[in-house]
Amino acid sequence: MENPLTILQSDNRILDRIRAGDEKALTMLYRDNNRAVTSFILRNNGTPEDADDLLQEAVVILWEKVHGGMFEQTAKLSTFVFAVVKNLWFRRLARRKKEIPQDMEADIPAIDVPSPLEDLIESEEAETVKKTLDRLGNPCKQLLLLYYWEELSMEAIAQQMGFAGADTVKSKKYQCKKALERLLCKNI
Amino acid sequence: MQEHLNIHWAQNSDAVEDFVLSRMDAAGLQRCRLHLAECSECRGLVEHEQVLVAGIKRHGRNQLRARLQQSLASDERNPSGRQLFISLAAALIILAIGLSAIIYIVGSSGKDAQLRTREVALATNEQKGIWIYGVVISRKAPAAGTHALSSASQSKTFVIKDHDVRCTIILRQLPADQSQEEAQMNADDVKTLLEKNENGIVISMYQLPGKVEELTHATIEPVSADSLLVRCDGLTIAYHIPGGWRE
Repeated sequence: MENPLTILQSDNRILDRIRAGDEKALTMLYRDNNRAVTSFILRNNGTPEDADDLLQEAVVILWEKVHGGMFEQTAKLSTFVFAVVKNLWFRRLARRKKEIPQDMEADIPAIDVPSPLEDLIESEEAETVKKTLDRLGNPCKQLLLLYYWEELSMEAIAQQMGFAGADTVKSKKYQCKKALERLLCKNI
Repeated sequence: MQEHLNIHWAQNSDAVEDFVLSRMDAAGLQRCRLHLAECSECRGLVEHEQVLVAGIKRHGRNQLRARLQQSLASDERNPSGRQLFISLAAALIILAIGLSAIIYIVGSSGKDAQLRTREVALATNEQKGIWIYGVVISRKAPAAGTHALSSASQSKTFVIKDHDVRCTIILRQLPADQSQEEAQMNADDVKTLLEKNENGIVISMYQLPGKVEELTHATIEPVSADSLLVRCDGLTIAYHIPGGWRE
């Protein structure tokens, strides 16, 4: 049986690496959970490809939450990852109108309660915005990603992108958002 | 509560952003939700913002996922340092075991081979034996007092342990006519007449002055089925016995 202290230390190391922006930590997390997640998905009407896709999504969500300051470590990282995988799979099965296995909710604790935003991320509208963002190009694309996805402060963005200061970033962000909306309107 | 319902906060883009990104405290979020429940115009503005943010986040996630996939694929192509270390260590262990085995096999047979190169069937001695050369493979100072010659010290018979094979070593003087000829040969060679009979083997060492003087402290040690070491007078002399010493 694994020593809880060892798990905690190992989890803390991974979290520190994520906070430091080390993407290799995600690879480690993926490998650590791959077997268990695959086994779970296969037992619940899924395929190895589903497991791969969901696990990647789950570790990316963890990254996003840690960087957004929204992650509170109340359990092992593997438990968190598993809970996210379960929630994502549950929603995906519901969309596919497949039968949800009876025991699916029983064996994994529900940690990650999906927000309306989380649901929207997988929507077609979000996909349209994503494609439009690509058309918008840099530096607007980079600025919007730094602000909305990486959730960096205006000061940090100014430093990273070489703007004069936070006010410049704020003004630039407003212009970029408007430009994105205009492109979206044209698409529609 | 009614006051909150009349504040169209969603017309403030910063407030909408804070609501969508959950940057408000619980009370603020609750106030906004109450208003949204009543105000369809504000609800529309919030939903529009949510779609924009969701699309941007989706883009960010996809970018990170693409890098993660690359990293996973790259790890499969190029094993990690730890995996490489384990593979390398395993390879080195196998190599070391292999080399040890080769050294062990070649070492024992190599010694034989070395002895074989020194083996010269010089001439038969009325079908009783063959001439061979022993090779001095190490040389130490003889123990004090071992040079006192006596007739008893010129011959010694051993029974090789575990094999019940008798082996007699005899120390002889070379005939004068051969001494000069042999003196020009390798100083590590010991010309020897090897005889085999029903009682075992007889090794007659025709020693040169200064090589072996007496056999009082002599020992014999089998190395392999066809090799023997004779230790006497500070010398270790290796012999390859054609056909083996057991037969």
